[in-house]
Formats: sequence, structure tokens, C-alpha cells
Amino acid sequence: MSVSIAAVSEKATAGAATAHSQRGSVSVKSLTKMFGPVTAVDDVSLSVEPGEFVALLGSSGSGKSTLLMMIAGFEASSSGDILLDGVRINDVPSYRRGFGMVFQSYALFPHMTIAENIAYPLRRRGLRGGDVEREVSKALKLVALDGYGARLPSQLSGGQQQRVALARALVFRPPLLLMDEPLGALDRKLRQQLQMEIKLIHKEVGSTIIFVTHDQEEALSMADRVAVLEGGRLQQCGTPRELYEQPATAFVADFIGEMNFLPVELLQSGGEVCARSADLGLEVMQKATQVLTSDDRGLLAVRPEYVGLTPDEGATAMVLESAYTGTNQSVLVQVGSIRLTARTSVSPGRPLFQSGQRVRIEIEAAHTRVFPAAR
Amino acid sequence: MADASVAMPRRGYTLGRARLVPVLLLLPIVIVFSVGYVVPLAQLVLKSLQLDGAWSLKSYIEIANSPAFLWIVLRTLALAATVTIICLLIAYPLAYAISKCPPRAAALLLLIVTLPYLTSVLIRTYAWIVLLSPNGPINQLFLRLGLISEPLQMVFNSIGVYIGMVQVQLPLMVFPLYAVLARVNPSLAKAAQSLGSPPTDAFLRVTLPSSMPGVISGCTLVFLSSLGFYITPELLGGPDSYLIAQGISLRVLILGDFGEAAAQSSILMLTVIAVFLIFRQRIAEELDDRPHNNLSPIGTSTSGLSTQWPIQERLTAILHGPSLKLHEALTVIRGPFLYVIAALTLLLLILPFVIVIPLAFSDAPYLTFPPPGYSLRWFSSLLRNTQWLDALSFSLRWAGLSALLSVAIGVPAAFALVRYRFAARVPVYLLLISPLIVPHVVIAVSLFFALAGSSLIGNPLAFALSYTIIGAPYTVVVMIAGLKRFNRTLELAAASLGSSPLVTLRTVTLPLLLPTLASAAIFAFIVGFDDVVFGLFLSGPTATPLPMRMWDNIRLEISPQIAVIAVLFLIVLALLLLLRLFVNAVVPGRRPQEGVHP
Repeated sequence: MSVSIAAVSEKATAGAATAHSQRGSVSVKSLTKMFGPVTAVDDVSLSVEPGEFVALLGSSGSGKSTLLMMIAGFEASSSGDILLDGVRINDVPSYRRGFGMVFQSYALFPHMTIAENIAYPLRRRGLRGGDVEREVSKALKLVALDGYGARLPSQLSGGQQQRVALARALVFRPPLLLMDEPLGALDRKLRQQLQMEIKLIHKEVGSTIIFVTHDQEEALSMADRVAVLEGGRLQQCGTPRELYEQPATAFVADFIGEMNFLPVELLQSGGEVCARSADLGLEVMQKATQVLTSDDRGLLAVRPEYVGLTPDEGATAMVLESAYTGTNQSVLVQVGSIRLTARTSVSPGRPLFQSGQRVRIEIEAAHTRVFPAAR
Repeated sequence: MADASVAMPRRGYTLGRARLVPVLLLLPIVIVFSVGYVVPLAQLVLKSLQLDGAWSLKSYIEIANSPAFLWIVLRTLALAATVTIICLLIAYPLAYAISKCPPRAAALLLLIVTLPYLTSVLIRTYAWIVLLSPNGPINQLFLRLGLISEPLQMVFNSIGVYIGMVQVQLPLMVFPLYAVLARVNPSLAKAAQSLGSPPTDAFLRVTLPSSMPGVISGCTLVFLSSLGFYITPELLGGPDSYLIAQGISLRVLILGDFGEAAAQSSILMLTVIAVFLIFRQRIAEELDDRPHNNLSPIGTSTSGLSTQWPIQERLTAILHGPSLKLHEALTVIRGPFLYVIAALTLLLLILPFVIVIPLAFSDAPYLTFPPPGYSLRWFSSLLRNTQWLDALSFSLRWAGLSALLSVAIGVPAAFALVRYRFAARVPVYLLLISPLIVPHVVIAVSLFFALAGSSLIGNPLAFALSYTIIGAPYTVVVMIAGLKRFNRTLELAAASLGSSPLVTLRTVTLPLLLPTLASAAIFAFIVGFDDVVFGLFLSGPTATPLPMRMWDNIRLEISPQIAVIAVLFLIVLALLLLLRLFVNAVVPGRRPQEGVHP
């Protein structure tokens, strides 16, 4: 016991960032969770480097929370491994894993003061007296709540409570911090403010962070890497830019940002594939690597900002509706049975597109991908 | 939204040891219930089917051929049904008015409704004897107002029984109605009004249907409880209006006709259990994990629109105008009407207490109202009477011990029922709460038979056992409600911060559940402390609880002594209440909503 106290105190005095730089690599191998006949998490493999900030992104029922609960030790896995720094921890109970966790509902103990809430994990680790006091005040300072120690959770606002929860989860310097939709209960403005604070605190303490959210904007703006889950399966894990520019599945392409999906016929020609849409009067040459199907039909995915529009009285495409947002104009265009959205930047001299106007459509081949037709 | 898995983190946890945990938690209560409840009741049914050691249906045949018994059954059913309907009609406006009150006022009004529930039925019945007697305050008031020329005979006949029963059962109707009405989304009625319904029409079409689950559960509770009621009919009724529970106790205690008593008890018990099982989804919904919106649309066609008979449709069309006018007229009087009924119902609930307090300070040597002068003579006479004091200390001791025992076996059982999933969960729950429903007369008779011949009749241990049987269901119900409200994320948080399950129980779960534990213990104590029925069957020279002394006093001499006890009881209750408020105010963060999952 005395050894562990010494260890905690030592870490307490050492520079926080260096204390964590070597610990906190987490990997999950073929992890599966069944609830009766339902597979909530389906053969997910993922590794997280020490100090990395990874977001698990998905809609409700995608398995992201179940995955987090298994890493936290609150849910037993059906099969697969969870490794911390290379050691299998599936059978280690949650209270011995030593991960910090922040819950959506804050989960502050209502019968304890803010200071006692933050002292709770320290006391469980055998710290007493002055050590506790020092660590608590340091943690309160970290989340900019000095002087709030004597209050009760019910006397704090939602944002303040969530900051206390963060301080409580970090005060014992866990190698890994798990966050389950920590900002979900807050309003938009407070959420953006706390997003920035969490990023700053992450830089300061250097813990590895796994962060669950259903808000793609939050995931893209905060995380080093984002893992997109759907139906219990890991769809893609990559940097925000990779997800946006090179989505691995049609789901990711649709889920992240906005995307047009145009039905096309595919014709092999040497090392390239020609994607052709008779309706649009369009032919796009694609590198084979950009085409994720071997079928002769597919869906050409193109983001609205890569759909070019030129006014042309003789064209078949027609503007249905448009929305002006200051720097951009979003334009909904109909060609035959196809509808697609274009986003054009507004320049001072050029008139805006109007409903009923005929336009010619151009698509930049470099920014398209082809997915299998059956979605 | 967080996935559902956050709320039920233990789901699918199938380690062998974890399966054993609920069994161990339930073992103590199941043992106590087997010994003191299940086996005696089973023996009672067996006894009713036997004659001199051989199988026989003679007792049942005799009952079936006895017109007197059939009349008793009919009278009991009629009384239970009438009391249920009156309770529903006067409890609904009160529950509705409370549900419309701001939270603080609602809490106070619910407390007033709870007060009678927490005070002895004996005290209330005693107060009604005083109130309704020929020279009692109600007759005096009516005479003075010139409404009547000579006193009405309202007590020791069925009028007294009806009034007393309604007052006694009213809280059982108000609670479930309030629980449902408080949950009905107030925007629904507003939406109906915005769509063209006058307020009363909106109430009939939207609020009333939404509150049906509360109506059903309240009616079931009152009806079942009335079927086996003993004290109030026995004290307020006349000799010619026997009910079934009185018939049973008469057969056992005076006639010694054990065979027929066993048969009648079995019939009463099985009837009650059958009704209970039919409506159990409404009563025992505490453990129901399924969503509650199991409303089915009535009489709909494939178009999704409800269909009516052509004649009905034409009638509705003709009446549309007048009915709209009627509803608009009703809108004007609906507010005053609602509040007058609610106020009268509240008055009915607290009237007995109002009457009892001056009586306690009477200086008259006999019972008379209003007292000619005031003194503390009845207080000092009580304190000098060793018989009363012995009975009081007996009741305090054994009801207190039983309350502790009820908590000790009921709390682990509640944990097992809320926190674990196992095959026998719902049956075990129904068994554990069934003493709330099975008439106490039946349980007492079965214990009387089971203990007859042993030295346990007249032994305090028999009281400890029976008080635990009737007290433990309250601790189970109160704890289940508390545990279901408990935010389990707090336990996950404690685990993530390094607490083992036992440390979490000590530092988080139990401190937050302390008020619930206190309520559970108080309920169990009061149930034992108030009991008369077990006293009738199990008392002996060395074991006489306080309610038995009160019972004898009311039946034989009816003195202000009972009022003194009632006042002392109210003082203790007020102190307990203050203690609770004090705990809430002083202990940090012990506000219920904080522990509740958002």
C-alpha cells in the first residue's frame, strides 16, 4: 500500500505531461458484445497511442457506448481482447483499471462537497491530509474552479458540474480518460467553450482520451483520430481529414459532412474506370483505387462544393431551390430523375442562382469516389 | 443520447458466482415468509379440506347450504364495491387538484393524505364513534342548523360502517390516482383545447383516459382491502350487519368452529388472490421493465380512424352543438366544483384528528363532546395505569424489533429484485408483497391454527413473527421504489474512481439511500404498532399489545383515554416528520432529485 501512495505522490510532483507520455496505449482486438441475439459491438479492432485523443462517433445504437463501457470494465465482452500497454485487462474489474471516466449525467456524488468529490479517488488510493488538499486544489485550478471546493454539486451550473467531473476523473492522473458524451447535456454555446477547454487540458495533462459522441462536428474538431461506428461495426478510423476526403464506406461518406450520391454505370478501360450517368450527361474517369466496387453499377459520391454550376440556357439541369448563407449559396438542382446539391462561393460581381434557371453541371473527378450501388 | 446499456450495466453478466448473489440476498426473507406465512396458509387450506384427518368437502358443502353465509358474502361484496365507488368519486377531484398544485403545496397536501394512513385505524374509528354518535358534534351541528329535528342514528349501523370505511380507505385511492395524474403531460389537455375542446371535454377525452391505470389500481386496492376489513365494521357496525372477516373471527374465537372458519378463510383468501393476480400488472408495476404505453386503440378500422355505429354517429352529430354549449357552461363552474369537492374530501380525512385533540384534554369523567372543561387528568391517569404502560412498552419493543427485522430481510430482498434478473423474480416479488393484499384476519387465523397447541400463543415471539410478515412488504416496496430512483451512474463513477463494490455501497449507495431506509423502517414499525387483528388471535396474559388495550377500552367503556393515546401518537409522528425535515435540511445534498437519473 505504501508503495502506491509513494507512486501517486511522486507523479503528483512530476511534470504531468511527461508522466504520461509512455503509458496509456489501448488496443481492442476483435472485440464483440452480444445482448442475447443482438450484436451490439461486432468484431471491432482499434489501437490508440499513448497521449492520443480518439473520438468514437456514431448514432444511437451504433455500439459506441457499449464499446466504451467494455473498455471501462462496466460491461463484460463476449469475445475479443482489451489491452492496456500490451497487457490483457478483460478480467480486471473496473475499480482496479484506474481509468478516469466522465459521464454525460456528470455523476457527481450529491451528498459530498465539490472538494470531497474530487478527493474521492485520492482517498481510495490511500492519500490523506495535506496531500489530498494539495491535489484537490490543483485539480480545481486546472478546471478554473478555485474556491468552489466547499459547495455542493446542486449549487453549480451544468457546465461547472461537468468541469468538476473532469477534475475528479483527472486528479489521480489516470493513463486513460474515458468520456461518455460528456457535453451532451449542455447547450451549444457552453459545449463549444468546454470543447476548447478539454482540448487545452488534454494538452496539459497528456492522458490518452477516448471520447464518445454522436455529434460529428464535435468529433472532427476535437479528436486526433475519429472512429466511426455503425451497427456495431467499425466503419473507419482515421484523422478527421481522412474521413472527410477519403471515406472508406458509403456510410462514412454520408455521415460525415454532406454528400451527393449519383447512380452511375461503370465501364472498365485499362487501369481506369469510367463512371457514366446518362441522366446527367456525364462521364467521369476514375482511378481504379477510387472505385470501391467491382460491379458494373455504382454510386458516384461527390460533395456539394465540388459540383460546379454554370448558367446555360440550353442545358437540361434546372435550379429547384437555393439558400444563401453569406459566403456560400447552396443550390438544389434537378436533372431528369436525379436531384443533387451544389455549393458555390458567392463573389460580389456574380448574380445568385435563381429557381427555374437552367444550368450546366461539372464534377471534378479528383474529388469523387464510387461506392457499391446497394446501400 | 447515451445507449441503454449505461442504465443496465449488469445485463448479460453471467458468471456463476453472480447468479448466487440474488439467491443469498433473498434467502432470509424467503425463510421467514415460509415459516410464518406460506406454510401456515397452506395448512389452512388443507385443514379446510379435511375432517377428522380424512379428506372431505363437508365444510364447503355446509357453507354453500347456509343462506346466512351467502348473505354475509353478498353484504361484504356490496360494501366493498360501494366503498370503492365512493372513494373513487371523491378521491379523483382531490388527486386531480393536488396534481395541479405547485410542488410545495402538493407535498403538503399529500402529507395530509398520508397522515390518516400512518395513524391507527383504531384511533380513527374511535373518533368516528364520537363524531357520529347521537349527541356527537355532527348531530349537534345539524340540530342547531335546523336540518333535522331529532338526532340521526349514524353509528352502530351500516351508515357508520360506510363513512368509517371510506375515510379509512381513501388514501389507498388518492395515492395511485395522484401518481398517474402527476405524470399526465399537462400539454395534452392544452393541446386538446387548442384543437377545439372546451376544458371539461378535453378532460374527458384526454386526461381521464390517460389516468385509467391509476383508477384501476386504486379501485383494486380499495376493493381488496375492504373485502377483508375487520376493525372498522366491527366497531362501527351493528350486530345485524356482519361481514365475512367478522364471521371468520367469530367462528374461531367464540364458536370454535374451526373447519368452517378454515373454509371461509380459504374462500376469502383465494378470491382476493385471484383479483390481485388479474390486476397485478397495474398494482405490481414496480418491477415491470416493459414500456408502460400499452394502450390499444379502441374500435379502429384499417384507415386508422375510429369507427362508430351509424346511429351513434348520427346522435353525436345532433348532440354536437348542445354538448359543446354544455361543456362551455361546465367550464365556468368546473373550477369551484373541483375545489369544493377536494376541500370536503380533505376535511373528511382530517376530521377525526380535529375531534380527538380536544377530547384528550377533557376534564369530564366520561366521554362527552365538546368537553365541559379542560385538564390533563386523562394524561396522568394513563401514566399511572401500569396496564396501559405495560402494553405500550410491549408494543414499542416488539413492533420496534420487527421493524428492524423487516429492514434486515427486506432491504437485501429489494436489492435482489431490482438489481438482478432471474427467472423467479416476478413470482418472488408477488409473494413478498402479497401480505399487503391478503386479509390480516386470514393470516392471523392461519397462524393461530399453526401455533395452536404450542406455547407460542400468547408468546411475544409470535408477535415478532407476525409483525415482520406484515411489515416486511412495506420495506420491500419502499426500498424497491428508492432503488429504482437511484442513479446507478453514481456507482459506476465510484468504480471508475477506484471503489470496490463494498466500498461503493458504504460511501455512495447507503448514504444516499438513508432517508429511504428510514421511511422503510418507520412504515414497518407503524404497521406492527397499529395491529389489532393479530392481537385478537395471539394475545395472552403476558403478551398484550397496546392496540388490544385500546380495542377493549373502545368496546367496553369508551373513555377519553384513547384520545390521549392518539394525541401522543400524533406528537411522535410530528417529531419523526421534523426529524426527517431536519435530516433533509442539514445533511448536504440529500435532496431527492439529486440522486435521480435525469
